[in-house]
Amino acid sequence: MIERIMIHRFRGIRQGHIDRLRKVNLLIGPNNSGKTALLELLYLSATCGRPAIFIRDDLLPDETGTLPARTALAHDFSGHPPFQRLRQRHGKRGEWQDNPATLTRERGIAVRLDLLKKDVRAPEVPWAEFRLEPPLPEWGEKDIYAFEQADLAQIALFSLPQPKALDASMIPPTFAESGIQPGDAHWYYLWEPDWVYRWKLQHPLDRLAVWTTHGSMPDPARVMFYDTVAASSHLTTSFAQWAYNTVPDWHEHIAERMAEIFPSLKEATIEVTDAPDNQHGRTGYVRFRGQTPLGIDQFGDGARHAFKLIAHLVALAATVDDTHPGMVLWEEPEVFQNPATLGRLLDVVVQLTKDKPIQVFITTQSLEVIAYLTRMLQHDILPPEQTLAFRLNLRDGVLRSSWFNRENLASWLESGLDPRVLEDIDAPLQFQLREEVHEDPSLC
Amino acid sequence: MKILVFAEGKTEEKVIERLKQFFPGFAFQTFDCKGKDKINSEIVTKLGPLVGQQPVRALILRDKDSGETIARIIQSVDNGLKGILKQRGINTSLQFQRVTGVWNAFVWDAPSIDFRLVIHIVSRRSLSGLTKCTIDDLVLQLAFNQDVVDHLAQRQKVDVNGQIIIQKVTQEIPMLLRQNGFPPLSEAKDYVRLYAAVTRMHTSPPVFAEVVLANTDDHLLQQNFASIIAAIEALQ
Repeated sequence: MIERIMIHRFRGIRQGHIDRLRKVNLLIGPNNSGKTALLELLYLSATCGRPAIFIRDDLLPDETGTLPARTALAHDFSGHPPFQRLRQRHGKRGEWQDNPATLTRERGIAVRLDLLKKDVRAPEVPWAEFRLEPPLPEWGEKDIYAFEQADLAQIALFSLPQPKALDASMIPPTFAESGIQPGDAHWYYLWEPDWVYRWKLQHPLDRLAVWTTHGSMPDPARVMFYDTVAASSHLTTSFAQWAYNTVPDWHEHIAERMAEIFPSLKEATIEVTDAPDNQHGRTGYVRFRGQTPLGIDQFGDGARHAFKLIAHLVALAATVDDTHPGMVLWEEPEVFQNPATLGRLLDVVVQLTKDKPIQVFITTQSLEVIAYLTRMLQHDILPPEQTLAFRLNLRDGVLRSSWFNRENLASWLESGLDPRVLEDIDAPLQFQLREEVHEDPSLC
Repeated sequence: MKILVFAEGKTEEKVIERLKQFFPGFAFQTFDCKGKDKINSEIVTKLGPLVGQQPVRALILRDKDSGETIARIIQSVDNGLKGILKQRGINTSLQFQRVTGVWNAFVWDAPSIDFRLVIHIVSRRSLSGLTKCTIDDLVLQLAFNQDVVDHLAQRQKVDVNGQIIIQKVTQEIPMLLRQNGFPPLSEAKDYVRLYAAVTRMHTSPPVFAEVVLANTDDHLLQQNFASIIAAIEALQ
């Protein structure tokens, strides 16, 4: 389980850290406070599972010149290429024109960091070039890790899992000051400039986004990122086929959970088959006895959203174990949901993940989501020792976080305090969590 | 700037509501902690997420019960503060200091995290023989003012001289009770209830306080609550 993250120049975060991460983590805070950036950082970190060897020729023969590395998997749990998926989220659908990566003769990737330097006022790049080479296959085995031309568009970062040593040029000064030892953490280096904090360039490493994760990582193939893009897309064929073949009674489990969320679906069965009109991918069809099946996308947005989440989550929950732990990154569960449905949806998600080795990160702007989870904490449906809410705050590029445990959340909500906004605002509605009627002796 | 006020009950909320006019530009949010025992847990749960994240100004309004000392009350709040700071990983060895010119208000100031907390301890009894010093004593003190009692009598359409009301509440009725074997009245709240009954208010101590405060002029209000006002000023 990831317990701590230190960040140097990732998206809008110039520097910052977040500690005390738990099994269930609720990220709250104003717009542009780093919630989504943190989800994306976690997604990129957790899907870094393709073995490679990091080589910096300028450091050889020092041992820091060649280190075991990981880079992005070709496809995440849902069947999407991770980096490309995030690029598309940010409106970047085309090829990366100035990609400094090329394929080497040994089917590795060579990255020319010096090609990133366009602004003469900016500091030098931290080092000119490095390579990610595929590990050598065992004798007689297929070379599954060799890179292809197509990989160049998908790969913009690598990780160094708990390296024995790192050259000083690879350690951001703030990390060095905080005393992190190379072997304490997984180190990540991302070179696509749109993902790197772009202002106040001072140090060569400022040309890269660098971060560390502390604690154990999930199985890269079991990382699920669920956002509105996922909600409005069909399931990928590769995921749907894998889930159908791997998860016993996948359709039945989806139907059961959907009926818990939408009681009107109690008598319905669900099948996942080809998307209509020869579209790519698969989708769900709801069938009531004696009636023709109805595509899930014919339902309202709330049901579509819930279905796609549940289809993935049922499969994830069924296939994780202690040696293959999972991770769920869920952006704004409240989107499209009626409050009653939202409560049931959260309840189902908690039930599916509760006793499983799945670390959950949820971002929200909704006081209802916070209140539902607080109530689950109060009733021990969510284990209090495994759950924290974090209020993020990003000022001048510095990420700060403040945590709320069960007692903080209950106390704030019962008093009408809003953990989402610390400043005094004139909100037209006030939400209060009321668990019980208090006897008030002063009024007797 | 918002001042978070932690109070033992609802009467303090009424007092703050009336005093806030003297602090334009400040917002007040009062929490009824439902008794002194919960004040520490309330400051830990409410202030914890704020400490070190943004400026924090907090006021604790405490009564002084029989057997309690100011030192012990401060020690108790100090323990609560240390709990917050330890939980949030903040090291500091600051001590409470007396608010200048006030002997029953104490300030704890940590500029490095922009966190200032003042505790005000009621240390005045409205009548001799009472066992506690409470916010109700301060309200009662106002209610015993000639102008205030006359206002209240008029408001409640009680055609009795204000002095007589005070005499009935503070002497005659308590004496009658004692003569008939009732235990002596020991808290300001008891007298508040008598006062409310005599003036036909039929209401609770917090609402009584609200009515009394509404019928008090600003000058008297500032005099009566001078120490609480000084405590708030120490947060500015």
